[in-house]
Amino acid sequence: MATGPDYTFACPECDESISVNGSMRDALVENGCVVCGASVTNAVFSSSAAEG
Amino acid sequence: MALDQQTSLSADETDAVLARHETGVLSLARDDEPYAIPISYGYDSDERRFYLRLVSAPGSEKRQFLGSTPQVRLVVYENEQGVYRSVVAVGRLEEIPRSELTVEHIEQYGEAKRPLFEIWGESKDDLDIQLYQLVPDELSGRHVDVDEALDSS
Repeated sequence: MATGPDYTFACPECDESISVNGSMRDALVENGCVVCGASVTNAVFSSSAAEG
Repeated sequence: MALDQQTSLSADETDAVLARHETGVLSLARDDEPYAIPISYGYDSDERRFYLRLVSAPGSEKRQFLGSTPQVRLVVYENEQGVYRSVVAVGRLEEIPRSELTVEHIEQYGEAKRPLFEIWGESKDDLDIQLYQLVPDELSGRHVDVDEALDSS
């Protein structure tokens, strides 16, 4: 795949972990966790590239 | 109540009813056994599509009724100032895999009411939360003026 997810989203409320790109990260911060509805901040994203 | 006293809602009126509510009753079935549950939903009026989070405890009765793509019926209704309106959507629930989530999904679920996890008495990470969309094969609404119906009966 030419482009992969850029970040890993880890919800602090429901422990859901989802690989996302930059647009999805922005949408999660604006709309909350897609699974449980909890508020989301930029701090809950880690860089997939940094994890190798 | 006579059927001729009821009037079909237009597509716009149907969308308006769905937009001003966020909860309904979802009915599932398995063989001849019915199962109905109150749910919250998000509704995309452009695509005429519902987005639902269904929460269940592992091994629960609800989970047993949720096959891969169960046939369902969703009912949303209101009784406002003597006018009764109801909307019925019929179709199959399609599970949205986490790996197929898009920005649009995230936005639509953002508009859906947060699940009431508290009623389970278990922590969220012990619950099974599945994301579904319902693209109705049939979507219809009706309304009736209750006072007029009573006067003419």
